[in-house]
Amino acid sequence: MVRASKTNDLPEHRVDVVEPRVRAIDGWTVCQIGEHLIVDSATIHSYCLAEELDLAVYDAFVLGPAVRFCDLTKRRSSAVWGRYMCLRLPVHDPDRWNSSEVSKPLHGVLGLLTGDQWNIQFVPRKNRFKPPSQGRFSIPDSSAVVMPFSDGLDSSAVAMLMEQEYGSRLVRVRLGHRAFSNSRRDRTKRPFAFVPFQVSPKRTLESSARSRGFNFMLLCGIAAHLMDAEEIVVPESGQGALGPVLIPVGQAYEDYRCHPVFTDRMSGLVSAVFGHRVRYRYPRLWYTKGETLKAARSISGSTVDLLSTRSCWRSSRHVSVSGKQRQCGVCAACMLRRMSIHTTSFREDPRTYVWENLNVERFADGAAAGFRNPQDSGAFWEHAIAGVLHLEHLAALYDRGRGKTSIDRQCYLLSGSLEVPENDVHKKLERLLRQHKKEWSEFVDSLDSQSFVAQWINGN
Amino acid sequence: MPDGPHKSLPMSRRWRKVLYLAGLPAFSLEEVDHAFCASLRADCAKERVASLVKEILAIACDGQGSLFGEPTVERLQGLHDSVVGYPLASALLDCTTRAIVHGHSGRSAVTWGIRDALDDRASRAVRQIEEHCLRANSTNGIAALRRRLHQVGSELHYSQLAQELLKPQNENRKTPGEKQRGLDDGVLLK
Repeated sequence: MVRASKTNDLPEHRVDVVEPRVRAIDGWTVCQIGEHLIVDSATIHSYCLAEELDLAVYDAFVLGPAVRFCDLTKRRSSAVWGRYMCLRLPVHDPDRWNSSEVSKPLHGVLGLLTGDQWNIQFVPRKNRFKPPSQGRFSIPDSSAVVMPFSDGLDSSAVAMLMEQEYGSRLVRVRLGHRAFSNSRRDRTKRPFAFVPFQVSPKRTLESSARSRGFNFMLLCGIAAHLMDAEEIVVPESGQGALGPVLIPVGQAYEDYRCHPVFTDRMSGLVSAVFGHRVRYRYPRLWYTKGETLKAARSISGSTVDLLSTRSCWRSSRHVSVSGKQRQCGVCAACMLRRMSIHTTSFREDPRTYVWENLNVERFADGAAAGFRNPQDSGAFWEHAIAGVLHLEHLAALYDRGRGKTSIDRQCYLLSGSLEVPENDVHKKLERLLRQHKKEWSEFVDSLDSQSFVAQWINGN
Repeated sequence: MPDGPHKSLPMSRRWRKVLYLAGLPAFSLEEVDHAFCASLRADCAKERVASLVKEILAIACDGQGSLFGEPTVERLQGLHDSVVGYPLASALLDCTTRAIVHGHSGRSAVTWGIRDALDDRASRAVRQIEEHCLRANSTNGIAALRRRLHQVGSELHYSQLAQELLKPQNENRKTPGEKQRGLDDGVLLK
């Protein structure tokens, strides 16, 4: 199904995904399979559980990064968030992908997630993909439960909790490009140990990258389909899943990447494409990250696995000190991590972060001695302000008169996707936000009143 | 947490003016309030709110719909595709739908929807102003700025803006800004 032509004033972006040696439409941005979008035969092996890989799975492996390519190669306007994205994509069965059964949920889920209007047209492939041979994996005997797994705190903590509940039935799906382990045996025996695709545009023009959520949840949906699993466990704690939607800033669109409304729609898409019904479950949605860490520690007794995780989204070239990669320590994700670790009273080496010390009056003075040229301006400074304010605004949401409508709207939307009465959602959300406020206040109180964090919150 | 929020988008010229007025105690709250509402009005224009209100009204005030056809809520949800890309318009649609689910109907539901969506946009704007103020390296006035911003943009104003949006479009007149024409009309004395 080709959707109606453009009827809005959003900036337009046209991308033609082409197979090698196929010419793209004139005037469209070219995304060539094998060059800008790589579906790797070696890593796709990790998804070959059956004798022959379903070609719809392969087409989904191309769709995910193609959407990401579009997202990265068109800058958003500063006036209005949305863009109008036209994507032309070769698949093995275009009739199936263009049918309203698939096209409608696909456009719906992408619109909700990215805040862009999409017009995706599927065309026949010139060459049929030859899947690699079936892998031999250690897979559970009984029904599996799938869980996305990154290097983050929530992933590690919730994996500990879920292993206790599901034992060997829990199958992790690797997100990000680091391997599960260095052991060769582990790498070849574990299914879903690699992300099977990469996107390499010539230039990245947009950094909001909402489409990452689509790729990750699509991979989990594919894994669930291949394992015949009925449940996908999303490990995100409440602040991460709901915070970005509750307190967006300015004209930016809400971030639904780890939100039940989005995964509810993903579930509809997975069902339409693969004919497999799956439910995304959020066991830690109503808890803070600090509470999740405490629960995980009570099981494992050790903090080693948790403290070796990574929360920061800054790339390694920005956060190296004396040649060693650290975490920035001041972005919203790092601030949330530091606050949560403070709540649990874990001891963390200050050298985990570039900004080793938050208890200083001048922002730049908090950076590690070997870090080049820290300043009270620039990207770190701006990310730090956004991070501190994000946690502060979330803590103040119930107390300031403003924000009530945002809570009401989100409770209404969550009630629909979680199938829980709106009043119950309100109560759970209120408890979560009050707990967050308590943890944030204790964290800020642990710093001097003249620290830059306290100054940003209270003024000086 | 997903890898955001990074930092807020550039602030529009109108909201920058609100930041300027709210940051200087010499300007009265009325002046800040006036600029605040003008910015909200401009956001509505940028995000095609007026035409959406017209479409919503047609559905919400259509007494026949719920009796003989698709229920009102489902018909409203059908408008979602057309507002993708416009966060304020999306909020308006969600807030109106919620008002209907909570027992409001017709114009009353749409008024609730507009008021809540404007309140939501005002909260986002205040957060953006705070962030931009700190980025300009100004922690000195941040507490006073927050206090003043908290006092502007009341429910009453959102109701008035809602009434403007609910009027047929040719009845809407631009509210002229208060012009200072000389020294005697300078900054208001408090």
